[in-house]
Order: sequence, then C-alpha cells, then structure tokens
Amino acid sequence: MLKEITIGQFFPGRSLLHKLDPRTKLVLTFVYIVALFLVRNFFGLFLMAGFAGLGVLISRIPLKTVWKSIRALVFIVIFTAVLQLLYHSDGDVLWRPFPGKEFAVTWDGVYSAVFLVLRIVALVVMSSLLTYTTSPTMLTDAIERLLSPLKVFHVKVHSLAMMMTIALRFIPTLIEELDIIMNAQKARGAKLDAGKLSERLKSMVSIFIPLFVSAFRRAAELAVAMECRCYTDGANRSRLKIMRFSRLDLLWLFVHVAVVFAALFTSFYPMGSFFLFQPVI
Amino acid sequence: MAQMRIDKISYRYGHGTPFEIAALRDVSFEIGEGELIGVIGHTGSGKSTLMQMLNALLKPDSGTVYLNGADIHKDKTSVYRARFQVGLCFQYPEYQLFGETCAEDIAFGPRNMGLPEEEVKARTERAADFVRLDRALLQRSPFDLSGGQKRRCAVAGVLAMQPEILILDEPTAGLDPAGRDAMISLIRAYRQNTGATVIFVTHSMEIAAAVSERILVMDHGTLALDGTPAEVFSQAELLEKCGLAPPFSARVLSALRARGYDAPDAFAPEETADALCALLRAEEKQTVC
Amino acid sequence: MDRAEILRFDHVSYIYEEEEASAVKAVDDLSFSVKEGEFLAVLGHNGSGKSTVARLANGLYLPTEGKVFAADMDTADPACEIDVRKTVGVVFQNPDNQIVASIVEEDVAFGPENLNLPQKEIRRRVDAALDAVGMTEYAGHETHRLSGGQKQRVAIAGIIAMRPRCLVLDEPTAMLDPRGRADVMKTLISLNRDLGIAVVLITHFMDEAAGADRVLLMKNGRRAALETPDRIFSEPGRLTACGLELPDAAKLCDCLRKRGVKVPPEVYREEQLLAYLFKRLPER
Repeated sequence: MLKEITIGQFFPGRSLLHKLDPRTKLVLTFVYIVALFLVRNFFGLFLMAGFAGLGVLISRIPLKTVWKSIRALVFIVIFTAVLQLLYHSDGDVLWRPFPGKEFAVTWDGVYSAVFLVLRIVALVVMSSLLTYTTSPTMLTDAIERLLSPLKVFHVKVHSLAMMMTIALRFIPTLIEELDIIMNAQKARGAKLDAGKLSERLKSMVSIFIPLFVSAFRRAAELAVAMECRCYTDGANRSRLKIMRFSRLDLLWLFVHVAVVFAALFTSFYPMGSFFLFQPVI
Repeated sequence: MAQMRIDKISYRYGHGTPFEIAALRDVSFEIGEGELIGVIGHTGSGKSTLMQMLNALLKPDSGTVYLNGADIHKDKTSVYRARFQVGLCFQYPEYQLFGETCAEDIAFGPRNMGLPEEEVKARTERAADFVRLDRALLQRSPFDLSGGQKRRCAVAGVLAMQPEILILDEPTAGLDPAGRDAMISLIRAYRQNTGATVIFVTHSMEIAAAVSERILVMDHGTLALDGTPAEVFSQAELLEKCGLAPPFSARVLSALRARGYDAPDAFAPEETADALCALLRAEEKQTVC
Repeated sequence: MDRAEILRFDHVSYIYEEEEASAVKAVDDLSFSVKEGEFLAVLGHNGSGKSTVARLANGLYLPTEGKVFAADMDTADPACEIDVRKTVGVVFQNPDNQIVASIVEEDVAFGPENLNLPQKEIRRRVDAALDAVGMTEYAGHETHRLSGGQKQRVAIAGIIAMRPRCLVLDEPTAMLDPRGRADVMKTLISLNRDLGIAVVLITHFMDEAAGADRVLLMKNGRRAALETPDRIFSEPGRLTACGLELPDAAKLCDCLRKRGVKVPPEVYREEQLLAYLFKRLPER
C-alpha cells in the first residue's frame, strides 16, 4: 500500500521535459506556482491548467500515474470544495438541501469550489512533473547551483544538497522497511488500526523504534561507504552530468513565461465578460 | 480435516502502477497437523507473499484460506486469532526488535494476546530458554546483544505466542555455519516438543533437503511442485525451469543415473557416499570378472 | 613470486575500545600479503575478526599495533589517505547502504566525481565500470528497484570506477539470494581474470573460497592458516575447529575417503569430483 505512492518519484525517459536543464524546470515550476496563486479568473486558470496538461502530454508520463498523485490528495481536494460551498452564502441560490434552514448552496460557492480544486490539481500536476522528469541527483544539483550565491554568507550549500540527495535516495528504502516492520509487528498481534489508545501507542513504538535504529545504522554504514569512495565534505567535486542551458530551455522558457504572462494579464486587467466570473476568495 | 486449506488464492501487488505484478496465481494446497514443510523458489516467486497469506496479513484478491475449517478473513476477530495461531517470523527478524529489555520484546506477542501477566512472564522465560538465550540477558537491551543472540531473541518473540503453526521466512539468512546449525536444531526441537506444524522458507536446497519432510516449490506465483524431498529433487528439469538446482548430492547421483547406473536418492553426504561406494565396488567387481 | 605486493598486513592488531574495561582484540598479530592480480579468500566464523580486516585494508581503521601497506603506502599516513582509498576499494555486505544516488549511473559516478575528474573521463569510467559488472542496460534505472544482486554489482561498479588495483569485499553475498550470489561471484572472477584486479573476498560461504588462489583462515582474530584451497579443504578438522565446515563437494570427497575410496588429494571441487567419478564409472 505504501509502495504505491507516486508523488515525488522519478520516471526515467527521453522526452523534451526530461532533456531540459533542471535549473530551468526548477525556476519555472516555482514561477508557475506563484502565478497560480495570483491568477484571479477562470480564463487565466484554464490557461495555466491547460499548460500543465500540455506538460503531461509532452513528458509522456502515463496519465494513470499522474492521476494517482492527484488521487493521493483527494481528501484535501474534497475538503476544500466542501469548505467553499459552506462558506459562500451570497449570490443566486442553487439548492437548499435542508428545507426551512438558512443554509444554501450558491453559484458563488460552486464557482469558488471549482476554482480552488482546479488550482490544487494544477499545482500537484506541475510540481509532480518536475520530479517525474528530473532525477533526484539532478534536482539537488540544480538547487545547489541556484543557491550557490549563498556561499558568500557561509551557507554550506553543498552539504545541504548532499543531504537532500541522500534523503531522496533513502525515502523509498525506508518506506519499504516501514512496510516490513509494520507487517512483522502485526504478525505479533500489534494493533495499529483498532483497540485502545494506549495499545495503539505501544504498537506505534514497536514500529518506530526499529525504523529509527535501522535509519541510524544505515546512516553510519553509508558514511563509511562514502568515505571509501573518497568523499570529503566541501572538496571540489566534478559532475557526470553537466547542466547546460540550451536552445530547448530557451524555447520552453519563452512558452512558459508567455502562458503565465497571459494568465496574469487577464487577471489584473479585467477585459469584460469574456473572461468570465472572478470568484471572491 | 486438514489443519489449513489454501483454496485457489490469487494476489497482485501495485494495482494500476507501472510496477504491477501478480504475486500469486491460483494457488491451492493443504497443510496437515504436525507437518514439517520447506518452501523454496527464487526471489519474486511469491513465497514470502504466500507466507503472509497464511496468517492473514494479506488478504487474497480471490480465493480463501481456511484455518481449522474456518475462513480466516471471516471477521476481525478471526483475523487476529489467525495471527496468534499462525506465528510468522519475518526475514532478518532482529531488525524488528524494539523493547527496552529482551524480556519486554519477547513478551510483546503474548501481551497482545491478552494473557494474564504471570502467563506472559512464564512464556517469555520458556521461550528464552528454548532459544538458549541466557536468562541474565533478559533484562538487558536487545540492542546490546550479538548478532546471533538478537536473531534468537526475535525468534523467541514469535515462539512465546505458542503458535500451532510456526512459519519462518529464511531463518538462516546471513548466519555462519554454526549459527545456521543452531537455528535448524531449534526448528526441529520446537516441532518435536510441541507437535506444531512448521513451515520454513529457504534459499538453500541443502537445508530444504536435509530438514523438511515435504517441499513446496514456488515459481512465478504458482505452486510448481509439492512432494517429499526425493520426489521434488528428482525433477531436475522442472526445478531448473524454476531457476533452482537440486542439492549437490542429488546432482551427482542423477548424473550417474543418466550414465546408466542404478543410483538411489540421497541428500546427506554420508548416505551419498555410501551409495557411491556401493556403485564403485560393483563396477570394480565387473571389471575384474 | 615476482609479482608486486598490493596489500600487506604486518603484525597488525586492532582493539575496539568502546569501553576501556571491555576492550576487545578483534585482530591479533595478523600478517599476510596479497599480490597484484591475486584472488585471496578470507574465511572465518562470525566474530573471527574478518570484517575488521576489510576496514583496516584501506585505512578506515588504523592498526593499534603493526602496519598495513597498500601498494607500499602506509595506511596510517594521512598524506596518503586518498591514494590508499583509490588503490584499495572496499565493498560491504549491505548494498542498500552503499548506494548514494537514486539512479544507477549517477551512483557509479559518485567516486570519480569526488576525485574531481573531468566530465568525459567520468563518463568513460562509469560506462566501463557498468560494463565490467554487466549492468550497462540498467544505467538509467532507479537503484531502489533493482534486485539485491544487481544492487551489489552497482556498488562494486561504484568502486571499480575509481580504478582500484585491489578490491576487498566484506561478505558481499551474505544478504543475497542464490542467483544474486552467483552473479556477484561471476563478476568478481571476471574482474580478477580480465582486468587483473586483486580480490580479497571475505566470506563464510565455503564454496566461494573454492575458486580462490589462496585462503586465509581466521580464528579469534588470528591467522589459523594461509594456504591453497585444496590443502585447506583436505583438512576438515582444522575448519571445524574454526567454526566452519567443508563445502558440499569437499564434504562428499571427505566421506568417500573415509570409506576407503582413493579420491586424489587435489580433488575438492564439484567438477573435479564429477570428473573423477565419471572416470571410475564409465557410461553404460
């Protein structure tokens, strides 16, 4: 069950998105997310969401996989939608579920719910695309490069990036291990999903202690293995994969900026009814 | 009536992901009380999944597992009961130790069974004695023990539940020859003393041949072979298809059979040597005549 | 005899000092050497000090007494640290805990990257190392989805990419299934024969030692024997005293000899025994 989470995974491939400089992808994803929160109308949001959809098509990641990462957030999505429906009581009434009661579902509420859900989905899809198409090492390398100006302030940028690389590398290993430990303790009658709170806490202890012990053991062994491979913190390291800002990056940058600009422009310069309703948020 | 009946169970991992695999396909067999069964098959053949079916950790997508005639997934109570009746000791169980003391750790299972405290204590001590874990160590942290002691402490945690069916997933993995022999005699002793059914998974054909009375061979999620060691290891071709090879002794004897000699089945080196001596003597006589 | 020594232990002792009262002498006055291109197996029961040997070989541990030389460099000399590690590569038991990166080729590149080699050279070495362990087709795969044997071969490639002249492996197959074990053993033999890399294989699987040039037998941190495998396996009593046992084929040879069958002393491996039996028992 735990093994089926697809958020944050990398799917090796040869698509255009895979070939982009990870720095380009990282910065543009960041820009996209910021813009997503600034967009105020449906036209802009559709444009942005459509662009994320285009990204999925270009990346050739199976739609099923993308759907899985959205599905993981289904509770947040439903919660948001319900909250919006409850919150908006102004505007044209669409439906009064409880006759005689004040509460009503209004068009405003529906618009806001749809708007917010679409925004979350676009956010998840775009940020998933980043990790789907960029290997963890490339991603942390890109972060290291982008943050390198901070070295002036004696921030250990390289160490931070190395920690991230190792964390990303070990997440799947530890998830797998967690799965095994949970099953092993369940086999000894651990009650993880039922029973009294004290029993459940005891069972949690039986899972997290072995997990931590194992994580520390792995860390110690990994440190030794890295030493054997001549790793010294802060020394000059070369790279197998050199990041190059190519024409492809320039093209993608241009398209991306154009989409974001168009979406934001229509949000801040309302141009009549063509651009639809602007939800009150 | 069989103690356990596995009826046409199938199971898939990772539904809908690109990594979906069929772990079990239409597996059926029965387990009689007091049997000593070895399960072999290469990695990914579904043996570990099968073991987790037997104590209701996993629920088959289709098919049923019956324990003493009742479906183990009938309700929550029957699932919990199955966990205690069928004790499953995972691979490298020492990595699941967590107790402040060894005694605490061993007592985890019996406490979850809701046994009275005196009984828990008695069982803990009995299990520790059984795996030859020094009583003095019971009050120490399990993390202070040596590798072999940790393994035995973890096994004691399963034995203390006094399961009717004991399942061990690769109990000898990573042990040196002395540790391996100790673990094997422990498995034998548990069965002899309690009359329990014992099922163990192993990668070693030699151990499977030497220890078990019945062998199940798993291949690609199906039960490929089921029989006595002699029956199973005489099927060299089928085993090879499953990515396995008979133990060395069996290979020597079947190579001689292929050369037209009347060689019996044997697995222990002594028996094999006896058989070879007989063949060599017969051959010498013939050449003298 | 004229081949140069690549690794030499000279009266080495090593004491773990977690608590002063319970100081344990893990390695006790151990001397041996490994020649260029040699395959040495180190056998011993758990706690015989064989794993400490691996960590002493490339200066992870420094001897309490005595000296360890890697290609004539003293491992205790801080100036030689990097060169020692480049010369003697060490691979450990659990492949999961040696893999740093999420993608196979990125992991293999980790060592060369640390050596600050130019990008083209890294590429060459990564490709060659993956080829040497037969993992070329997995270059772009995620490391955590590989099987145990594949992971261990990636870990070996990660060391090979630093071009060591000696490879020390601490029970590299202990956590693997038979197929993974066989693949790793095949890889080690080909690295030794084809690339001339000296291999020190620390193991408790007797059959893995059968193909070695020499076997170092350890007991309680000391050297119990250092001989060719046929001599080691023709003395079952000595192995038992070290908490070990004969490999299956040698055990059968031993049983036959005890029954008066005159199996030649140099026969101890599967194929040798089969050949001998086939000679005595012609096809009918």
